[in-house]
Amino acid sequence: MELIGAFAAAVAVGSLILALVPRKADPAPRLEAGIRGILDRSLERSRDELAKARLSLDPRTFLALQVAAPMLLGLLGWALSFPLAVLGFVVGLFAPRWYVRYLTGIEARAAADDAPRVLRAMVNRAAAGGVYPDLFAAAAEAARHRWVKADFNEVLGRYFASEAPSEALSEIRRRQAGRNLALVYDALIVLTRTHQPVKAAAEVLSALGDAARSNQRVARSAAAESRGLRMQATFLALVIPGLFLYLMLANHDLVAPVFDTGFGRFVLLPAAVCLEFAGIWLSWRVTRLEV
Amino acid sequence: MLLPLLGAIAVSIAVFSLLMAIFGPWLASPRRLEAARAVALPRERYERLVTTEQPWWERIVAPVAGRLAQRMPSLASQINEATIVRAGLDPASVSPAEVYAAKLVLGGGILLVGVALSAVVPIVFLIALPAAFAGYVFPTEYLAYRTRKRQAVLLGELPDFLALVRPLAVKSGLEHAVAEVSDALHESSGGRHLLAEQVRSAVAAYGIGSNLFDALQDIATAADLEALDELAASLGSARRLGKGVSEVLAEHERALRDDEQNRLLGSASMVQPKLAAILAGIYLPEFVLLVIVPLFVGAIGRI
Repeated sequence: MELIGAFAAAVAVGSLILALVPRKADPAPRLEAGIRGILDRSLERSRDELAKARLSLDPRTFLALQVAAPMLLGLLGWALSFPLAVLGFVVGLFAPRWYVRYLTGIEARAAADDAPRVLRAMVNRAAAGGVYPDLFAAAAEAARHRWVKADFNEVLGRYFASEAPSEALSEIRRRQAGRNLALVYDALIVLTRTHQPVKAAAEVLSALGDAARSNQRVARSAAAESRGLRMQATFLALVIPGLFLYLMLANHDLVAPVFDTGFGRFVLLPAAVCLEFAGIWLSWRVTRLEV
Repeated sequence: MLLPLLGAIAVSIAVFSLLMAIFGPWLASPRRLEAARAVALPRERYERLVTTEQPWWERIVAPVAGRLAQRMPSLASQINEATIVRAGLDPASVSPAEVYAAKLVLGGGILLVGVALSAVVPIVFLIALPAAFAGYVFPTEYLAYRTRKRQAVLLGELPDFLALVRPLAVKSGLEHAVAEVSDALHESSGGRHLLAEQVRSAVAAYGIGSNLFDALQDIATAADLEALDELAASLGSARRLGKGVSEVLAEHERALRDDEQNRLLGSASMVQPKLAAILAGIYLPEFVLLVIVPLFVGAIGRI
């Protein structure tokens, strides 16, 4: 019986290998091109994310950080047990990107509050007459957030450096993480591309005011709802580790099996850490209210 | 059982390597450059040249899946071209038969691995059954996920798109405004504005003589986007009845923003039960693992 089983296994494995054998005559250039493509895409994505976060970091350095973080966290996990090393590695894969997105989100929400103010300033300046650079200057003047101010100043500078405004605006538009500012830039791009006179721009921007206010209202309700819910989620996430730490400090013997036994180090602790991470990640996703 | 199995695997690899060393040169596929001379190639070499372009799983499974799909249309009917288009994929590059093949490969592959490993660890077979089912449903679930995500993006972009089109439509006409705004958004986003990309295709259809509103309805149907479908129908009837297009756009924009607010309230109301589920399903087991089990183990150790 075992002989038949072994024979069947041999046939099956042989067939599988024959089916999987690479039949391409020149696989090497394709592999190289594939790796290069993945690297290029990663660099492009990193460039976009860093531009949105206004971090003056080389995309290659960021990519290196993304490679180093899983190794570092994996090594840290290794100090406790192998399952924790795997978990550390997995978390490290995503940690740099999550952190940059978190930073960008906070700043973008603060910058988005400037959009109605900037729109109002541009409408007022356009109604008083003038040219497009006057609108950009008015926007830069009215802006309170450093990102918004810097962006409009850059548009102004590039305009005076004889760059086509729609091109400069398009490039700066890609850095806008907030919906309202993106809308303002989109409007300016359409207006400059279609060579609308400033008087027409005043009407268009004025009509956008309602949209921007509505977007802001929705974003603020989402932020307010989300803030309370995140407090609850944070409390839930801290209770169990807090209790565990308290027990560890108050009476170490009670939780000693977690660190002193193989079962604790290889099963209990990794499983608990996995659950904690899953809990934090799921709570974060659930309480992120976006429309 | 384990040793003969490993021995058989090792022997088959060794025999395969030997055979490949002997017959490898005859098995090598023609180079891509030979495509230029394809007319002069023997039929079997030409077929081999073409099939090397396909991934292995497609070469093996797609013909089987195609035949199965023909025999059992009820099984294959869950995937059609509309499903693939709604997920934002091109049916020319990912056909329904390939999706069905992927389902079979994942489901069957996981089951086979489970059966093979059950010879070593019997419990693996029990785990492999639900895993194989998950693998079988994964491709269609993934398509559904992509569709939902795409619809959400399109729905999110629509009100702001209308906010830009509305004032310009008053000045230069609706069709012109739609074309200008979609072009500008497409270029400024580096081709990442999904709605602009879709609207541009409608504008292109308009450019070759189709009705813009019909073309917009077509893309709404393709993306299964009811809001865009309604908007296109309303704009079409407004144009026929001579009603102001600007009012229709404003009305729809307002309705879309109200919907956004309602969706936000709806999702906020669902958070509490979800947090309760996380508490029960994740933090409670964590409490058991970190506190109850060590106490229990410690108590047993002391006894």
